[in-house]
Amino acid sequence: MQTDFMENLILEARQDDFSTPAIRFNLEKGIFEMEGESFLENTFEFYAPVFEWLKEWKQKWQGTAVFNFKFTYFNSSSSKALLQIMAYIRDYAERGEPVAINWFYPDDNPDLLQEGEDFMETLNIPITFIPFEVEY
Amino acid sequence: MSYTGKPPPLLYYQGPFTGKLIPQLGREVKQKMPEASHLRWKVFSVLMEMCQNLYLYSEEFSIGTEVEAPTGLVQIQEDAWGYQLTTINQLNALAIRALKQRLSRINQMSAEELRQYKNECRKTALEENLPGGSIGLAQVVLLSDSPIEIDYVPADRDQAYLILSSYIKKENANRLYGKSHFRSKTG
Repeated sequence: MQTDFMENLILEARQDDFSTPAIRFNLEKGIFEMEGESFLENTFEFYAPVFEWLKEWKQKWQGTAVFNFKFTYFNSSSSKALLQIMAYIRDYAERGEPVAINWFYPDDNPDLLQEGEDFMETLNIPITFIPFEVEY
Repeated sequence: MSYTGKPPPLLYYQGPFTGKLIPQLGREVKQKMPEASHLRWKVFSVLMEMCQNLYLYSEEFSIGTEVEAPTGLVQIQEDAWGYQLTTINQLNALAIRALKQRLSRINQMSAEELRQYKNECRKTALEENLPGGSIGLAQVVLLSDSPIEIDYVPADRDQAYLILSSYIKKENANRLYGKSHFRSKTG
């Protein structure tokens, strides 16, 4: 693994005025996770550094990448940011790099399952869907 | 019961809408619907989208307050069968006419057509680097159990109070998979 030119991207989840997801992009493990809620006043401002990180990653990185998305809520504005993130992952896969995308959804929420299915259809990328028991 | 004969609303707010107010309203709904469920998630999600719509498009601003902010009204009224969510905000007549046309189109879409529409809007916004995807109201229709109702009351020559209303049924929200939509595809 070539971790010398990039650092992991770790952002803690926030739930104060707004909700931002936890982001744990771990290069050593090849595991990239986003978890929680995403609802912000300025969605682009929050996701811009995530986009920058992924742009660099998709060009320079090599090796297996496992992406785990585990959201309990995101608003329609955040869904556009998630589509952008998945588009970067697709670009990485199109370089011939091995990628797995897991979409975890609350087992009582078919709407969040459908959101994942919609990303898969829009970008024509394979996604594995995994229900989980949500703790409210 | 209030003087209207209805129970008091689950949520009522009238005044300036700052960005920070919207998540506060969301938290209030979660507190007032203590039983965590898909139903609560739907009410919360629709509330968030409708409030953001008001926040982005209201043309009446509070003046003389700490923060100049768009103003409006939001209400959630519970009845035996579900929850009615209503927002009211000021908008110019031309914008209301355009919104009516757009809503008339998406209100008639089946669930599958709405998903397709939402996906196309989101993809276009991404490809053309547009700030918004204009998918908030489509999301409201998708999650609701009736078309979005639209009405208006004239405020002055050019402006009117826009009234948007959606309804979420209690029974449908907790029915998992094989979910039915209020319109079925015909043809």
